[in-house]
Amino acid sequence: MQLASTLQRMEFESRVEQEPHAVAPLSWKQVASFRIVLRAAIALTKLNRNRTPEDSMFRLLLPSSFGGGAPVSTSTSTTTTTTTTTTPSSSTSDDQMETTQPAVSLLESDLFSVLVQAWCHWQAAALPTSAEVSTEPSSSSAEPALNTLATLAWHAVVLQVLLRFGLGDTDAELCDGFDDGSEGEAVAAAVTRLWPLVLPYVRQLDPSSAAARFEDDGRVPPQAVQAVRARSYSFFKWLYQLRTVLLVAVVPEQWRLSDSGSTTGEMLVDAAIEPPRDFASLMALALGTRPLTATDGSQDAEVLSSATTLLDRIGGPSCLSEFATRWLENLFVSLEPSSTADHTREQYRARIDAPPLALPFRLVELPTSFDKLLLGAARTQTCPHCHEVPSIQALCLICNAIVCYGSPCCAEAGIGECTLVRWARWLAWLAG
Amino acid sequence: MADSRTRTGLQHTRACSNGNGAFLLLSNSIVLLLTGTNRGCMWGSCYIDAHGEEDIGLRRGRPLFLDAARVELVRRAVVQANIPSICQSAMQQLVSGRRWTEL
Repeated sequence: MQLASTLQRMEFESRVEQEPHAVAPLSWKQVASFRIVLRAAIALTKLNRNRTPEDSMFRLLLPSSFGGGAPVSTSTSTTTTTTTTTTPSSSTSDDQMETTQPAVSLLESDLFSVLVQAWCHWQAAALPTSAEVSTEPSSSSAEPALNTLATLAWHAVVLQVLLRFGLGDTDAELCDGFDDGSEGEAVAAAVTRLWPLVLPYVRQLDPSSAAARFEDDGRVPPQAVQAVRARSYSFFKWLYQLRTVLLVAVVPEQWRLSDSGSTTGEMLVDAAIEPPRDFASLMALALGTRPLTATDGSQDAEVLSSATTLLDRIGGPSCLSEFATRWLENLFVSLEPSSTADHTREQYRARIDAPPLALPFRLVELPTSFDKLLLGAARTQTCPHCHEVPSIQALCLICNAIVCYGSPCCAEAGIGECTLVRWARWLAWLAG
Repeated sequence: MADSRTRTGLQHTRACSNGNGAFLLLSNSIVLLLTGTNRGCMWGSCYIDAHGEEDIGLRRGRPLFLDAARVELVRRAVVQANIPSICQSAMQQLVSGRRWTEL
């Protein structure tokens, strides 16, 4: 037994050398950002009383929600985590669907998880290296984080509206949106950018009417812009929610990363004190403008006018198009040509319109009879560590894995397999 | 954080929850809760027979059926992060005297 254990440890150590991400050091910034996100999750759950806080919190805690937010950056640190969630839906097979299932259930029209994903995406992509951390003050990195977060989340709203429009939904709550002007152009620009991403999914969902209504030339139908513009009241409502979340959830100390100057969090708090400036400043944040520094109300017009020019920067974050694509893929990853009959348009529309919070967490589906469990697939399922059928099988009720229970063959330095499975999840969560 | 023990855990990419685990032991139909670094407890069974009795260790050999209420209890324990308090209150120790981290 000791020999086997030693061999396994040697094999593991060689594997660690091949996959350096397994031992990537954790950044305190990552941990702090996750804490912020979690506090935001709690606050948002309080806002939406339909959900229990523990359910949505646990959904956010599940690392699968962070796996999709892995960076597109050059580092190889998260390539293995992204492969499960960024697999194109065209090549979706059964096993891939199985691996992406948590992400799917999380991302089903879940705006806040999109928010979290965007946050983690930025955190992982723009996380400075250790040398940069030591040389430059870290306060400069928190503010673009917030900007990018708001920008991506705003685009998520646009995506949802476009999907609704593409599926033929015209009964959007029509309010007095932007008529024309800077914000209208901003909306049009965003729609132009995002409509080509939405259109394939609309075609896939509703081939007959989509072919009749939308041309193939990739031109944005003017009704789409109109639909998004008509929903701009919802944008404001959402921004108001975001403001509340930020005010409630973000501890000011978290943002005060250095002692020099005010931070975005403080500016948001300042902006929230004056309601007329509130929406303008948040809209500016969402549109990607510079952080607001003015304290007088006369800056509103300037902020709003500069939103148009700075909106082009929304395309600036290189992660945006990939983020939007991934969001759509996750939303429709379970869609296959054969299963279209099961998922009607109305069901998908319901998924798109679902309240912007997570689904309740469920354990693995256990068979009704214990015999089926014993004689089923678990009988021959091997432990992912030792690749043998365990003598005493332990079924993980959360991830459906069969691991060795109390067997010394899987023990590493006195830590058993069940414990390792727990720790792996925990570390994966910490590492994003 | 990145000592040899936690590195070992990283090779299990598919896993359960962060720090709190719930397992069903197939050999004796018992639910095992693990938490933290060294705590855990046996927490009854999700499967009961026709008389509503657990069969820990599968000694009687009667057919066992899933009890939805007990699964809901486990789900709540996981979701509400109650596993540490449950394990703390249970304070059960293995008969063999092994530590929980060895499981």
